[in-house]
Amino acid sequence: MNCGQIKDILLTDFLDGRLSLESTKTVDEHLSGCLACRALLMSAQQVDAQIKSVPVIEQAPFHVWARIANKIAQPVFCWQDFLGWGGRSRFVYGSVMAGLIVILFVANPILSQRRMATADSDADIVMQLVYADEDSFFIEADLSGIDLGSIDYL
Amino acid sequence: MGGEDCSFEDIYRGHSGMVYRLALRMLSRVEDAEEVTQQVFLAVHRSLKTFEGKASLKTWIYRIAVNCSLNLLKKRKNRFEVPWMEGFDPADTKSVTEQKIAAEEGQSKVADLLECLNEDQKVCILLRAQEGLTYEEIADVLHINVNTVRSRLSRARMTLIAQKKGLL
Repeated sequence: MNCGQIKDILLTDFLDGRLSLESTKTVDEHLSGCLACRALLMSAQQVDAQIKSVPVIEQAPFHVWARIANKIAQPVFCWQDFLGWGGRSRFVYGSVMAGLIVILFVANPILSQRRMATADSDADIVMQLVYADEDSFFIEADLSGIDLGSIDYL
Repeated sequence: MGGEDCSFEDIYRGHSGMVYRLALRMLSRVEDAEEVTQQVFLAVHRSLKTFEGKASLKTWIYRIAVNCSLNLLKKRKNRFEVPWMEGFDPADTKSVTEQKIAAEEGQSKVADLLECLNEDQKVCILLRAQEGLTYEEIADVLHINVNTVRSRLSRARMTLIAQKKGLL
């Protein structure tokens, strides 16, 4: 193993004690003959020690707990709680919603057919009116364009 | 699961230290660490009923703590806030408690050192070197691969060594 290969192992698995005994032996052999890698390992150990050296805080300050307890004690309105929307009832609501969606899908074609039938009858009436209007228009147009005096009555 | 075995107060007592420590190292400010601790345990309280126990309670709480810390860090960056180290005057101790001072003094050196890391590397090195989590636990907390944890730790340590040499 050369220094390039060992550098990554030193900074991770070796330092954190994740290597097998056999691999540890190989790295140790390399370290015994390589000053640069020994220096790198020492630096990494110093960095870790510095991070660990900070005074250990066992608990967050007491007033943080006081604030949390105060917030928890305040009643919070929640729609999910109001509807009982949690746990197994979620499945009940889900099933009901799925059922409604299926009903809508089934009912939609029937409703649309009815709507079309109504629309057809409405359309017929409208068309009749249009034809009636057209007829009267043509009648009027014919009368306006004709000189009644020139008509040769039989 | 977890939530029913012990009371919320027990959970808080057992885990508040680790959340507060992590947030303090991540955010370098006592007020922010307190805010994150509060957010984390309110979230834990809200979600305890639905916690299924797929991960351990500790991992789950760490995950929430990391997310809350990163969110606050992002918000702070957006607001262009000045980190406490720049404005902190050790002589001005009238308004802060003794615990705050001790925490801040110990923190300042480590905070200076960690400043050179990106957020991903910082979280990894803190969870490993400070909290003593295994690579697998870190991977679980951050939802990443163990090899990613390994490479982030390697890069973080290389950067820290370089930084330390530059500082000395």
